[in-house]
Amino acid sequence: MNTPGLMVHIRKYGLCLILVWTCILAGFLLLLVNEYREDTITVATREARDYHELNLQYRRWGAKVGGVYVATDKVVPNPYLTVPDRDVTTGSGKSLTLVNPAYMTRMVFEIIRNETKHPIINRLVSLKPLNPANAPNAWEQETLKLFEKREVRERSQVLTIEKRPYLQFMAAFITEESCLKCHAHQGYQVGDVRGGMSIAIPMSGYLAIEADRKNSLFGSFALLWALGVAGIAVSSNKRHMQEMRIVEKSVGLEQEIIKRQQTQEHLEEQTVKLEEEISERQQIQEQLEEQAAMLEEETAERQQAVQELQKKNVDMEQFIYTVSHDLRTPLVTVKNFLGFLENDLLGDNQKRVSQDFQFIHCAADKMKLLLDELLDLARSDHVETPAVRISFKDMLAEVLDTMAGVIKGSQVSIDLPETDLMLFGDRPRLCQIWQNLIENAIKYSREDRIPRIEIGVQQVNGEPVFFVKDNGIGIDPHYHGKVFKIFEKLDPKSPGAGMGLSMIRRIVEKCGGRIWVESEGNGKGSCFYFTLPLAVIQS
Amino acid sequence: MNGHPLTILLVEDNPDHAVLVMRNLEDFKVANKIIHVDDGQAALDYLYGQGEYADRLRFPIPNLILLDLRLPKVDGLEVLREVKENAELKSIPVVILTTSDAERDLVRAYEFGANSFLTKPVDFQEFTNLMRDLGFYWLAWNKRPW
Repeated sequence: MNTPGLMVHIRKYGLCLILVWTCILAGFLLLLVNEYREDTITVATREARDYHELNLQYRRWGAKVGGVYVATDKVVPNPYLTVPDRDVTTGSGKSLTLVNPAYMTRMVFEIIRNETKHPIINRLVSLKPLNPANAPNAWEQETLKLFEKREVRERSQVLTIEKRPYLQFMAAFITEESCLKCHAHQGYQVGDVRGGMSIAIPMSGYLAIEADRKNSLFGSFALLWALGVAGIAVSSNKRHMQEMRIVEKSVGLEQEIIKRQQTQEHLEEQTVKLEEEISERQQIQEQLEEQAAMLEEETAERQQAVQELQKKNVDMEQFIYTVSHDLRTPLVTVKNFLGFLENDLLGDNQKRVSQDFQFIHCAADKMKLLLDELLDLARSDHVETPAVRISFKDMLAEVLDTMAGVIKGSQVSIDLPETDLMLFGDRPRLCQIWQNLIENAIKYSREDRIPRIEIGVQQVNGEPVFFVKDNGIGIDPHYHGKVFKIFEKLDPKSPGAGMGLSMIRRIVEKCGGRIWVESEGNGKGSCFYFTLPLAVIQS
Repeated sequence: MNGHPLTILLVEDNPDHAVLVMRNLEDFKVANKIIHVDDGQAALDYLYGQGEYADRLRFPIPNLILLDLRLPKVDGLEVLREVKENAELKSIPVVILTTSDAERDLVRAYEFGANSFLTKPVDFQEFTNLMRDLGFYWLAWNKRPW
């Protein structure tokens, strides 16, 4: 709601009230003015009627007595009176003339007319007047006609006579018994309307009173109107003020509402911002958690790498230690037997000379073997061929093909597995596992038995476990852990540098698996078990 | 050189080196008897008089043990530890005679109570001199309780 509109509304409202008030007062005033006029007319009519009644009674009396004789020096004889004995002379010689009621009243009213400034006019009029002066004017004539028709017996109206306001009153003049004395010759009968008595009462006095009353009425109405208008103005103003206050309040409220809406919008914005911030923080937290997880993973990887490195370090240390020891060993032999050889040649000890040469040769061969195996080991660690798919059976066939000569020479019988599975990995390295194990089985076979090797795979707890079983010399349970160590040999006289199982263990561990040996002891044969989780494709 | 027969237990897995040591010691005639075993387990069996070594007349408690460290089955250091923890055996001088000169072997050998630590020289003359001095030192000059 806007303020100017309200102001216009209030003004319109006030003006309307004032207009209605004015109309009401004007209506009442009009009503009262009419009333006043009617009062004036009523009073004037009453006066006229009084005159008429008085006049009538005088006439009635005059007619009843048959007129009154009046001295002729006082009254001129009525020329229109045509009755015998109109003029008589008394015994004393006084001349008398008969004055009938009409003549008498005329004369009375002539006195009234002559004595007052605004005289009362009274006359008898008839459509058939005896006296021409009694001829009716236009209004009287109209009224007389109404009388003749017997529609009314009385009529009054305010008229202007001789430029003055008058109340003209007319009453029907009904023929009575006494009238016939003079008017029987005109053919009237008792009860006939013979004419009308017309009385004009001057209104100026009444009108002056009416004007006075009207003036005071106007005055009081003006006052009333003014009071009303003032009241309306005051109440309208008050109302206006109230409405203004309401408007102000509503404006205040609207502003408050706007402010609150703004605050709410602001809050909503902040809420949205906060929600965004929260989601951002959540994202950051998630990222942090991811990073933390990655770090943990990395840390774990690093720890694993460190452990691997440490293990490699230990291996390396062991390796260096072993190499320095094992390479020195034949060197010591070679050098020292060369010394002996020198002495033995000088002393011509032929038996010792050939012995010395034998030792030197063996030591040199050992060095060669050692170097070859070291090279193999280095290759197994550092030379990798791309991973390929190969079936277990195909791979074994390849291994046996490679070893065909050795197998034939040792007359070993080999049982191959019935079940097959797919492998995926560094093919030469995988082949090396079985090759070395088969070589070991042949190398450590019992002389009193035909070597027999069983190769297979079995499911243990859902995991394929490979095995290479022989009926050879077996391994004392005490040494089951030691056999996989680098350059460890249980039998110092056996060929090789003691790197075979160590190398197998490395390959198995690279495939995420483990290797162990089971043997009941010396002479009981042994069985090597190993797993290759990373190289087996589970079907 | 007090007239008692002197026995040396040589624990050496390398047959060449065993020959090398025995030839030298025989040449200098410092010992009456040199017994060679080629792994740690055999050495312990000998010392405890177990299995094939039960006959103390043939296999007497040695006056000196020449012990290689890297041995099959039972390691040289393990043999040393058992000898030095055994009340009857701990007084036998144990000379470590090894190809390696690794620091950790040296330290641990002395920790376990080795009486001497020698590295096999590559040079023939040095090896010969060492064997001679060793024999004389431990078996001729060194006083022992028995």
